[in-house]
Amino acid sequence: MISSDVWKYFFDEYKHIIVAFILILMMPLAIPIPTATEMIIYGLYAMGFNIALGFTGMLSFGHAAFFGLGTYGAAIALRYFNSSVWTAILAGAVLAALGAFFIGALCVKKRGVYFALLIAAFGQMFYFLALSPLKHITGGEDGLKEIPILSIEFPFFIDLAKPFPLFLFTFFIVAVSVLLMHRFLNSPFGALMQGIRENETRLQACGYSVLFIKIIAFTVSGLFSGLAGALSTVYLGYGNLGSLYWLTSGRGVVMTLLGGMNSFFGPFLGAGIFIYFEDTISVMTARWEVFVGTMVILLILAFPDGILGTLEKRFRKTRKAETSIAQAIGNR
Amino acid sequence: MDDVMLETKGLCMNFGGLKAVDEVNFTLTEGQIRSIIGPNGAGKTTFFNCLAGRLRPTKGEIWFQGKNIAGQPQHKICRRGITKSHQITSIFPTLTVLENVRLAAQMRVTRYNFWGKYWNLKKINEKTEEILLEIGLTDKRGLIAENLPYGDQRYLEIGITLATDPVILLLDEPTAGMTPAETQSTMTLIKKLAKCLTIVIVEHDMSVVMGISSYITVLHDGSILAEGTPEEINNSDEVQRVYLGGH
Repeated sequence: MISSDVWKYFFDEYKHIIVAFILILMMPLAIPIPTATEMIIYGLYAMGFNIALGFTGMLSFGHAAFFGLGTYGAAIALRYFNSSVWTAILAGAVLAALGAFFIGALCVKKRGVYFALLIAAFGQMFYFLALSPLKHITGGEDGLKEIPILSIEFPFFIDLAKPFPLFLFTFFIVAVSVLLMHRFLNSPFGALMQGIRENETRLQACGYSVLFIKIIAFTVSGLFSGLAGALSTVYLGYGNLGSLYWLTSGRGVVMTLLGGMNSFFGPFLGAGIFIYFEDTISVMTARWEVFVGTMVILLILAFPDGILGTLEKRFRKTRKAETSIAQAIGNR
Repeated sequence: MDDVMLETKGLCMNFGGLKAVDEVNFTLTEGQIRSIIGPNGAGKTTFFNCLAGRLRPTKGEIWFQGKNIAGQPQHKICRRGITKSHQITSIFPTLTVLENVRLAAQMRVTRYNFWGKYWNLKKINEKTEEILLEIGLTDKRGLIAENLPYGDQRYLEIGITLATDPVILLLDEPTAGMTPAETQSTMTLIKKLAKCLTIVIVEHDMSVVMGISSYITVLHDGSILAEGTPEEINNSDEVQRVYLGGH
């Protein structure tokens, strides 16, 4: 016995996601497929990053560590253990989540700039570890090469060497991740994370362990960032050392702010725009950073809360309607 | 004698060389509305923060429900049933009124729930509605908390505190900055709450203190100067001298 109210609520809740998925699937019509694939990989990375920044209020300057752990986790599984693509992606994500858990547990007691810089230091530590002491495993500066040509065997054959199947496969993983993230962020636990962002002391006074919530939030953030890193290994066909470099962290911050850190899909859009500009302009000139930088500055001036954040703020009806629907259903 | 709810023995809190709370032996009986008054810097808020676990006392014991809870972290003490509202309004500013209360209300129902949906968690919603009704913000549930007028924010703060189901409610200057009308209705609310809760209030407004307290503790320089019913305090020469400013 499900009334039409429930359907209406489900539709209200998921309509943004459905629209977003349709738009993403239409991207290959207008954009070169490899660029589109890269856009959604970084979109996932930025959304994962935003679990920490936008939802919990923890600014991290070192998310490259988790993206890179995902990259190398997957690359090592593929190269040395001959694993399937599924296992490799899982390995990358789990490795990143473990990294985020331990680094998070060490750092969450610090706040603001101290937290950001501590994480950044850990991020650089991983970069230098991969660069030289672990060179024989990670391949050092060249990255981890000699990964076999990839394909999916289960449940049906997909040739990942071709751009379009690779795009669809990447989209599948990203879509599932987005749904999982949505569910997680809208759960009672997700509300607690926002409580930390809003007023940590008050939340502590309400009987919650703030440290525990922060560690879990950071771990989940690392998990999805790592998943994106693992996808980038599959996409590039090798483990890229640049994934661990601090610039990857910086890109995450810029993408998120560009799209809007107070919006669920904002970071995704920001990442898409950033990568699109980067890919198209870097073909035309070697000094593409100048143009992309200028464009980012202009966009942020025009949309102070990020592109999607500003638009949502302007067009959203009051949240009264939303909460009262939820409440009406809850009280039946 | 009524049941003792809370007892401190030789409670001390030092900040460097300053003894903010000095050897306080304080007993709270069930169902009281206890006011703590005293001049600025008497240690009232520090004493509160020690009770609520926000500060770890330097020395001494706090007995509650047969356990010494001194030095436990704030969230554990809150789960035991001692919750404090803050002197400076402390709410979740960009969440709605409903979300503010709900965050606190879910603590007893589902503390860390990664997968649930609010519309499925009936208990939380009922509790939230109940609190909203109690603090009179039912109609404003969809507003963003930071846009509320100051008085409503104070009510919301009390609502958040109430939603954690406390046994002892610590209110730090609940009527500070309120209009006379708001102060009146806050007093009514506190009296109503006192029917099922034990309440401790730090308050400067003597008309509020005299109007609602069943018992008053006067703090001065970190220690207890006098204790008694409102009449006794009003008639005490010593209290008149250090605090009430009589001659």
